[in-house]
Amino acid sequence: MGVPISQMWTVASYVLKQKFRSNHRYPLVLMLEPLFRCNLSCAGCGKIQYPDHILKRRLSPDECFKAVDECGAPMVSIPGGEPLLHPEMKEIVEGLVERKKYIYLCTNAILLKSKIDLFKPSKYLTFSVHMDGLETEHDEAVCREGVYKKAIEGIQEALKRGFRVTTNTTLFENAKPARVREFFDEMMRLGVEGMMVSPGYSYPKAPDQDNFLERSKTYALFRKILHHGKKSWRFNQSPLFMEYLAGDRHFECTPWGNPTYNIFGWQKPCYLLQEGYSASFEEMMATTNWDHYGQASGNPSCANCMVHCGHEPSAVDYTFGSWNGFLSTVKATVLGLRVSAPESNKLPLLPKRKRFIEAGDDSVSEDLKKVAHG
Amino acid sequence: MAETNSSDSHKRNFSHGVTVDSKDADFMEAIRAAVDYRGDVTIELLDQKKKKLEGFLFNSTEEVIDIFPKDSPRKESILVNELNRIIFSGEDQAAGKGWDDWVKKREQIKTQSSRLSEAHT
Repeated sequence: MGVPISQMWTVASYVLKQKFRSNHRYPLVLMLEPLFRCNLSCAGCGKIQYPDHILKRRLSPDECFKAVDECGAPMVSIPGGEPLLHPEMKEIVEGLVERKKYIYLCTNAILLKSKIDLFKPSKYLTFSVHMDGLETEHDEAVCREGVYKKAIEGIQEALKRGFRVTTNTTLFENAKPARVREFFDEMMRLGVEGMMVSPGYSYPKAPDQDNFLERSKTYALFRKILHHGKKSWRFNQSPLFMEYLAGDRHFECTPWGNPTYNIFGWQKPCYLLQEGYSASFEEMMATTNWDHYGQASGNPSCANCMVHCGHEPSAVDYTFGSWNGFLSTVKATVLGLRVSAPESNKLPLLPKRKRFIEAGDDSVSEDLKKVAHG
Repeated sequence: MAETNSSDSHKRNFSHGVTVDSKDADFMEAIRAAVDYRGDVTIELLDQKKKKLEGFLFNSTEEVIDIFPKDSPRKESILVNELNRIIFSGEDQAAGKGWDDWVKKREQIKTQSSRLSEAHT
């Protein structure tokens, strides 16, 4: 796998510490959105459609540090918007490196080459470049031609200078497995440290509403992509999460695993849904009705969501929460990923979905209490 | 176009131009829709001496709304019972930016450029 030992060790010791403290809800990766402004307007993105005065606002370095300290997660992902448009990104990154946080700076890489002098290579800093496929597919996904070539230039420059570089790929229903496999080969040829893949989520605000994957289609797509996967492919994510994508196991969502902080505050309940904001991390954790989210909750917003931000922390928790999880991770890491064949009928056993009742209905909490106490 | 008639039996579509009075039965629904709305809203307060507030409403509870005023760097919290009216005044930034629009636009560009190259040859 593409994650360095020191990072694995940091994450492992952090998760084990939470286990020893019997802390069942802990953050793993802070999603720090310092701004919403972007230099692209991708059809699958629901993050940037705001009035101009909102797009001009951004978190200061001090606000970012306060959120990072408050949250305590060992890893910080900086999405957005385009983080490289933030005029104080250098200060933010330096402050996080000082705090020994593993940073994934998520960028479309359009500005990477021109802004790279602002940063110093560090084991703590990774440029996670948004790449949704080979040139045709990527430029189509980002709704602009020429972006793929620009991103490749950025990746090459960053690698040349000794930076850690990964790619992050969102796959939609129209993804062609053979092309995705070619894309993986191409990224490996480029020399990136690892790849991250996730199915798209049907953002209520994303313009491309018909194109998101349903659960069964997700299994089929990832089986076609990952079955007989090449040994040369390196992924910067949990192998158990990838088995989950291919329908070889099931994880319930742990939305608190990747909490989100942005100009509005701490977002409830997760990176994808916006159901209110809290002033502090503690308040967000304490006041969110977590039983309302995840596949089993019956919440229609979560029915088909298999996105990494809710399910990868579940996979990591499973790894360090049981011998079975640990051994499965070791096995997949050492022997390589093995997922079911596309023609296989094997499906994971999903927990029965509860009847979902909207928040605000007093009977809900009583109902949920009954469920929670069996 | 403003829509102010709250006596309609059907559910209102809280879109650009809609005005909702605090006396309207669906006022709380309108507040929730305003949080979800990706455009600015204008808030009129019951206290007529206080100025109207235009901005982005991003959070609400039964008691309070949080808004980023258009012309101020700081967010403001206002009690719901101080509100008189909410107007969906700003354009919805999420509207009309569909995948289909992009595909259509791209096809138009391709057709235009192939016509141009044909004309030059």
